[in-house]
Amino acid sequence: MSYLQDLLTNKAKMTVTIVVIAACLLLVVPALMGNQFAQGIIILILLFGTMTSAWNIIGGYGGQLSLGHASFVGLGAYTAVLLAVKFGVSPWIGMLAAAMIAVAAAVIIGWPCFRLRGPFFALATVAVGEVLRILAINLPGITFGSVGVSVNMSEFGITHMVFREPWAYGVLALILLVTMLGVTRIIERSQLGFYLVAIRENQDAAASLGVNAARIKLLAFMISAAFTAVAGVIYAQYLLYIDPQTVFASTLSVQMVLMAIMGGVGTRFGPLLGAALLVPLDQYIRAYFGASVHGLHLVIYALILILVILLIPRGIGPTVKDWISKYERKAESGVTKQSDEGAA
Amino acid sequence: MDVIQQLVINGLLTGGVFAIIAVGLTLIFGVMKIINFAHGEFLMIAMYLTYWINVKMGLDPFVAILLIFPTMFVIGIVVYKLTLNPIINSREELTLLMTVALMIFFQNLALMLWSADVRSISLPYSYSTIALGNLGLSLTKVGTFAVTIAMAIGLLFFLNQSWLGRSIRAVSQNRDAAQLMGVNTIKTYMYAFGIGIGIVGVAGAALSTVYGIYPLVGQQFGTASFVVVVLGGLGNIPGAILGGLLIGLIDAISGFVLPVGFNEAVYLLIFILVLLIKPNGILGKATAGGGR
Repeated sequence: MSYLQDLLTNKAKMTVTIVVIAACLLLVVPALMGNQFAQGIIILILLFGTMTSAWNIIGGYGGQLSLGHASFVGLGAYTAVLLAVKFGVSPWIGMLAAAMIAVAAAVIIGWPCFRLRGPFFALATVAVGEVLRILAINLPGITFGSVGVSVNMSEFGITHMVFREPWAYGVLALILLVTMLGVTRIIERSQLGFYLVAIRENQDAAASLGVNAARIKLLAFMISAAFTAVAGVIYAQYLLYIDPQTVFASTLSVQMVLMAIMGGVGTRFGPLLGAALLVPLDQYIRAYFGASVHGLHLVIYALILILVILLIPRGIGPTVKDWISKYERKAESGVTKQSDEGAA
Repeated sequence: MDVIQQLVINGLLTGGVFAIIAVGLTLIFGVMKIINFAHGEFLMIAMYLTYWINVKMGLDPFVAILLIFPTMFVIGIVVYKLTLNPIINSREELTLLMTVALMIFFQNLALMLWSADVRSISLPYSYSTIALGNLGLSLTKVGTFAVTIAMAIGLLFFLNQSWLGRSIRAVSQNRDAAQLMGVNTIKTYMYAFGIGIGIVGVAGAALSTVYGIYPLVGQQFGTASFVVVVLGGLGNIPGAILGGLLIGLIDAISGFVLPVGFNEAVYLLIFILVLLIKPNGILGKATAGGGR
């Protein structure tokens, strides 16, 4: 059955498609017409979608709950920006350096921490993230401290990765996101992906079957770190200014996990879906309530998160998928019933 | 030598505070295997409660403890029933994220209701000191420390002597075996959470005499109490008390030796080292939870 035929006969699929199209119309069209607010939201969705998808490699498929992924955003952002500001290095080269530093950091963090399991690993990543944030604040000689540092804006253009038009950042972020999703697809279907899932489900059983858990987890962590750092570079270039509280923030780490959980952990498009839902939500309630009462927008944000965790604990992606297959099964059983009756 | 003595005593007094916060956290972890990221926020709520009781009713914070413990106990149980109970048997990351969501919720609720201003309780004896040899000890700090000790003794007594206390210990040792012996695990979770929050409430009441009260005050103590809990071994109550005193000492000494801002990094580094070398804590035995 072709997708279109399928669409017309299947109510659930139609609803989902309509929702997706409506969301695109609400955001993409205004963005293309130059609405800055919508453009900002789209760029953030693409960037957070990438970061969360990167988290998903180790956190979702591998089941290692990293609560310190902002470390890699921060390392990436600071590497590129500081190289550009202090030595005039192009952010493109900075991006490469950022990825390499993030991979090195992933090895240094992951090598010891992957001996830990469950809550112990989560706590260790929290601590690592906090240490990096504190170091970034307290080493002003290198990082300019809590004052932060502005992106080198002396020249605009592609070589300096500084643009007047926000959509240019959107294009960069989109390319990165598509690459990330492609890599996710490759991992999903490769030995690495199967090993990761095996480790998530039962590490001891996987190890007993000859899976080198430490090596596999480290490899996934390195891939994850590299993409998170590169996303961090584009994030920094888009924000034009970074400080430890923005790019090393523990809330940033938490956001990645929340988006993945909301969309569906360990699925290819779940993290992007989560970002596409949470970023606009965050931005809208910030815009509506942020100015009037201090703190109100985060109270609402937290309440929505609590409700999501309680009502759709498996994430929106898998839940919706289930609805669709339920509908399909119903429709199929209806068809077979009819044909049975016809035969009789 | 005076400086060192003063540092050690101050460190121990602060350590006592870390210890009592960590005791509630470790109790909750031991029983439910949940890391309560909102623990510091319950401390903050208790501090505000104490503040308002003091302002509106003129009640001394140390007396207010008698009101704060039951109030926080009930708050803990209500929060547990509404948010954690429905997902208690599902994936680990969900409960963890729920506590993170609660943390964001309470921090910003406090910000919304009471603004970011730092409040403090002024008492007639706020600046009184007790002379110990040639050292002057702050009366409120000593009082807080005394409350810590009393609380710890009370808790250990409760855990060893009462039926509920024993079932809490049984569930934390082996959930399935406890259930087979007729312990209602869900009820035990609920009471353990309530008691853990009640204890942090007592800590909050005592602390409000020493520290300023603001929406993010929980963070200041929250991070430290995680370090303490891991140092003492997750779920280990005597370990948490020992860990608290140790971290208090380390904090006081590194605060004196190192430039401002670095002392937090010091105990976080200790934290990471402990996690790596002895994930079951300084008093811990090797169990299935941590390590290889």
